[in-house]
Amino acid sequence: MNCRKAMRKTTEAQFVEAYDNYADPLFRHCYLRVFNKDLAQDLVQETFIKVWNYLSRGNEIRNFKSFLYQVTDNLIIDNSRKRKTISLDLLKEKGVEPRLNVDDGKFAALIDAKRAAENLFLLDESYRKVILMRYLDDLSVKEIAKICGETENNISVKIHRGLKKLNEILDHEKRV
Amino acid sequence: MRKEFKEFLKNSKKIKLDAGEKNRIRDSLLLYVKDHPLIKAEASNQGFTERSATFVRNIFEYISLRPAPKLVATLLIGVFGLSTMATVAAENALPGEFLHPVKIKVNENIRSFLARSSYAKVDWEIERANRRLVEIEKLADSGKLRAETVKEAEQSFEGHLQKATEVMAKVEAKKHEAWADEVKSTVGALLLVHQDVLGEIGQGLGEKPLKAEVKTELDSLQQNFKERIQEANDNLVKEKEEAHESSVSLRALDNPEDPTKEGKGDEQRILPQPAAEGKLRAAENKIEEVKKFLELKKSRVGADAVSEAERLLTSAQDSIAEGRAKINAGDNNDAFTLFQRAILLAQTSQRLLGVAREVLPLSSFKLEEKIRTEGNETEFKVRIESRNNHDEEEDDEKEEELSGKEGGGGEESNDQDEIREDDQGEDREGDRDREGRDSDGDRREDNGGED
Repeated sequence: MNCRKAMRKTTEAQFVEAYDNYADPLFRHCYLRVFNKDLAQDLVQETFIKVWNYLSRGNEIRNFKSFLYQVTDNLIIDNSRKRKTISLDLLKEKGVEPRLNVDDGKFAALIDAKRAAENLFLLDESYRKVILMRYLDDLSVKEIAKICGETENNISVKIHRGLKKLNEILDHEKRV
Repeated sequence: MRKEFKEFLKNSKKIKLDAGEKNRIRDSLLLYVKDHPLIKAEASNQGFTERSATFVRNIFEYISLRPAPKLVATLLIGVFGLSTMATVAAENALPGEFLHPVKIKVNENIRSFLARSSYAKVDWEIERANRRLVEIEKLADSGKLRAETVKEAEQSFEGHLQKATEVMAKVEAKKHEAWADEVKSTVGALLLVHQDVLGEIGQGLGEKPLKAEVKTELDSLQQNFKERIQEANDNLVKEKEEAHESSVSLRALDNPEDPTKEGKGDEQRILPQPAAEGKLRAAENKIEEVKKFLELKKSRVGADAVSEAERLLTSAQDSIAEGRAKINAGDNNDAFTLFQRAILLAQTSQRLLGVAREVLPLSSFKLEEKIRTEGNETEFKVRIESRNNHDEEEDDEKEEELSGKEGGGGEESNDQDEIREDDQGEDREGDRDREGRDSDGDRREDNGGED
């Protein structure tokens, strides 16, 4: 086997491995950003296509996880720009409900958590993004900063403010 | 963090793609990968040649897509290519050849322009002088040398040395005596080697016989070199004597009551140890430089020239070892002289390699070095023996004959060939400053060898 074939196989193997490891977390992240299962699946697929295109040009990826989230985030932003901003009421009118799609069905029974998901949907996109990345995807502040193209300090502030706002929403929910 | 949110996060981690959906995306991605192989990645891992070829191909593809600038671009590429080829080819041109003026007027003048510092200018002028001699030696070796060419080369040679002297005079005015000493030593090594090469050619030992008029010119040039070497030698002796006299007169001023105590005066003239150590470092650097040069040129010169250069280097190293012993014994003056001699030996070895490659690539080139130490005086002599493999007796006979021809008297001629190195190394200051200059020296010598 010559070097080129070996190299190609290695790159392909890396790519497939990355898909097996990160497809589910990416789908989860996308779903909680866009609250649309089909769109989340499309975003995952498109993310991997873009990553392969990048690899096929001879580029190297040192940190697959960060890179995948960066591509996904860009795609989500592009997607939201295309669709413009749609208000929550408009989404609800169209029948879009923030539901969690879990296999075992147990999660749906957890009312508090369901409310949290709904309330997360009410949170501003910029806060929702960093909170999900930090607490759901277990990315470090440094990685999030790199993905979003912002300073670490900025991201820390956003996480703090996002959590604060989420608490306010949850409090409001309880009062109501 | 709120309990509800924690619960939400915990359960959110259960969100997954449906197994069937995940496999479907996986399969479609694998298909995509097959349809889009790593074409660019393979290109990026190509060797330099392949990438260069791709680059050139891309240029031509670009041109072919745009017919209008095609002619202009092709012309530009052609002109650029031709001028580059001409410049490179001119480097090997000899006097009388079509490209020789390009070598002199374009290539060398560009390098003169690029040599900005005084050091670089002097080094380059000496190298140009060396080039002129190598050219006529090459021509003589192939029997194509004309008397006019020798005259022209001699004029150029003098002109380059004159330029070097003018620049040096300015540097000397700035009290860079150590560097000036090194330049003198370099020129001395150059004259020694070329004088012997010219001597060999003059004896008709080249590939083809020379015309009588050419031989006369070469003999005249060789004689000129001998006189220069002798003159340099005389100047050094004179400087030494003057230094000694001034030292004695100073001692007389310092000790008016007892001005005749020579022994005491000699002690006062001993060089400080740092001066000798500075010279030692300079000599070691030079030897290292020549060793590298030798490794580089080994495959391009004859085996005899290599062994001769190695022998000169060994002598230089012996000289250093001897000098170290002198330092330990507290004799810094002798140590200084021995280190200076080591530098000259190394320089001669280097110059020999350069000339051997250019002029006598396949010859049984052989230098014989005679070093005699008599008291504080060291004599150094270099000569070139016949390229034919004469035995030792034949060589001795030949040396006697040559001595008779060249100097009009064997003993006188031998005396002219000699350079007293202790004179060269006498009472020089600022040797530590010279170490910084060694790198420049390296550059020049390397360039000289490669040209």
